[in-house]
Amino acid sequence: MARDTGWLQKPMMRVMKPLMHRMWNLDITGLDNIPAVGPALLAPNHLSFLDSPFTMSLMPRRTLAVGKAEYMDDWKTKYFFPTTGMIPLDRSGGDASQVALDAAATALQRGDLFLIYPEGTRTRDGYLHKGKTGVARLALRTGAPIIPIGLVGTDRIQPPDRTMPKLGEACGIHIGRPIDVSRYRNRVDDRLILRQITDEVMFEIGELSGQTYVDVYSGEELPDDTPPITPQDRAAAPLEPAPAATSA
Amino acid sequence: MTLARLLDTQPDDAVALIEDGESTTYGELRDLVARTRAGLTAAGVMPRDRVAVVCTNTRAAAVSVLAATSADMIAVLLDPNCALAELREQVETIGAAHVLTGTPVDDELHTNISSPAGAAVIGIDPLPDGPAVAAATPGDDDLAVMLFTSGTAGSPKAAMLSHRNLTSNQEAIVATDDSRLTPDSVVLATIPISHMYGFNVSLLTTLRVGGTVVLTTGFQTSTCVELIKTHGVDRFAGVPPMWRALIDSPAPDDAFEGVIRIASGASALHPRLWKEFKERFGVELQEGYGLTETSPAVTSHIGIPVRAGTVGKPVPGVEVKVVDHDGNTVPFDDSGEIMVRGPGVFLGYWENEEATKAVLDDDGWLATRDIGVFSEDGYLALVDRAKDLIIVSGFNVYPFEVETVLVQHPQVQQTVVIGRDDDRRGERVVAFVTVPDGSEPPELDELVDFCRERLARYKCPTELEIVTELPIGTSGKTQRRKLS
Repeated sequence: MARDTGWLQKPMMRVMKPLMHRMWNLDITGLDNIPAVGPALLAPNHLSFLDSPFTMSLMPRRTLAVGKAEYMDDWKTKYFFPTTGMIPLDRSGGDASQVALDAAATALQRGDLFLIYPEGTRTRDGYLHKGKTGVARLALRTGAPIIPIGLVGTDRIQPPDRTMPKLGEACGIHIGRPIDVSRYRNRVDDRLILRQITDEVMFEIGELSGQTYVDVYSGEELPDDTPPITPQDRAAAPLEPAPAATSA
Repeated sequence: MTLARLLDTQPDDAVALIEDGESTTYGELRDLVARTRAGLTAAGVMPRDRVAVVCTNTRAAAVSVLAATSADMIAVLLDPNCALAELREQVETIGAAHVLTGTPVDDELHTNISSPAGAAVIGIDPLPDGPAVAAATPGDDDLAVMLFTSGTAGSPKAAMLSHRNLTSNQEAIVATDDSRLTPDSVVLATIPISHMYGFNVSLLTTLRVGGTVVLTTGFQTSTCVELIKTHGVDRFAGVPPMWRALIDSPAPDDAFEGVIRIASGASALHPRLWKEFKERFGVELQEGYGLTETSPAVTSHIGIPVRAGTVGKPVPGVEVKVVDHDGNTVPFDDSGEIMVRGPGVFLGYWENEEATKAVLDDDGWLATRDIGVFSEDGYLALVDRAKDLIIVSGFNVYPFEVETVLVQHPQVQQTVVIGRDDDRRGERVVAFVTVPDGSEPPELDELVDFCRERLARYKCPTELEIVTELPIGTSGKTQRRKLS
């Protein structure tokens, strides 16, 4: 299956890219941080349902990603999504998700770009949450660099309660410098290293997205002293990344 | 067992203490303790009174503490290197009616302590004497000794230790000692006996087994090497700045040939320093972990293979766990706060229930405020002090990790990393660096480039200060507060 995944992506990108630029005000920075050849893990924050189509469509070459296994139960998505680059991931854990991660590793070993959300799921409170270590595991296993990406404003284009995106809105897609994990390559099973790499990725994502980081996983209760982020705060989030976050 | 019984069984003619080349046998020591006990009683000190002892590493100070505890007085060990104002505050905090001192600061001490704090100063050089008084029989759980905790901010806190706290830790050390701490052992007391390690490990544990303690005040590399050679010292303990000084000294490479154990504590031992010491002297430093509040030994390398970068395994009878911020035990290899439980865990802080409750829970677990990691095979590694943690944009930066990288740079001799307030990221990483003789000071950019190959960007220093020396306290801990 992995061999055929994403075969439709390239022709779709040719159509989608100009369309997207006409429909929304896209501020894209750091595209030159994407290697021209070879594998890389793309690691964005997760704000909206649109994050995957936006990020994957705007990349200069084929990008694969994992998606919910439930998509494979629906005939409308079962055949279409894999053609656009989605590898199903069973989020209940166990062997099924291992199969998807194995497929991801295979894609990386083949030299593709691979999109994975370190937070695991969309943020509901606007904070950047603690990252899960899957991205670090994949990087150590395959030697692929991790490219942090900060998405800003995709939740304004399609908030969680809307079924259709709002046209004319602006969003930022900021691509950071690759994080090379080769210095840890002899410590693949060291959980401390996995956490270190993951935190490094989350820090860079925070620099790019401007979000405030909280050291709890998405879906977990926030610490008592965490101030809430209001919709007004989210609407006012600047589109530019922090200085020096994207430059080489 | 109580401290009052510590000297009951050793042979009269065995050497207990050596100071300035002069030996004191156990028979003489028992006699001195009995006479001093009588002298203190004659001077009006009553059982359960707090007696402050300005503790230099001398026979007089050791005898004074043993005499006070054998009369069921509460000995409060004070560090003579503290500023007088600090000593006065400590005496006031514990409400001591008497201060024992034989140090040259007597007059100043008298003026500064006795009038404002209302404490009477009793000289211990010579030791006081009086009509014979029988040794008291305090209970195991009675308060025996108090020590002020080092390195903490705010008002001074005196940790209360019972007889059981202290003797149980001595037993734990002897039990882990691979049967090598014996009446033949000769221990160099390099750590001040005003600190828990110097007091309960170097001094009391050695006396308990009938060994010999070589007393020395103030650390000098040449004196250390000479005393080891002259008296056949087979073990001693120290702190990282001492190892650095020894490596850089002209001491011969075989200076520690007959030494079977060199323990390192007080502050984290950088793996590079461990390696340098081994290469220089052929001896593996054994890092251990302990606190004043735990009497002190929590972990040690005694009887197990040395693993650099760790503090060994828990000593017998001491429970150690590493927990997350909700108090749940974290998996192996995950970092969290080190919690300690056991008979050595102190009674609390003197008249400071709030501070006690903050660290001691109802089940007897002591929150150490130290961050550590357990390996699956039971070795504990210290990550850092929780209070030294720097938080950059919500991410934890442990100064020790950054320091470990920085000292690998050829233009860095020693370094201390602290956090400073930062408008954008909450805190930023600041490195204080000393430069080896003959080297140019490094530029910040050079150090950042060096660190970037080894550390995440947010852990790299964004500010550099070149200094001629780093502030190190008498216990060997870096005084980070002085840098912030």
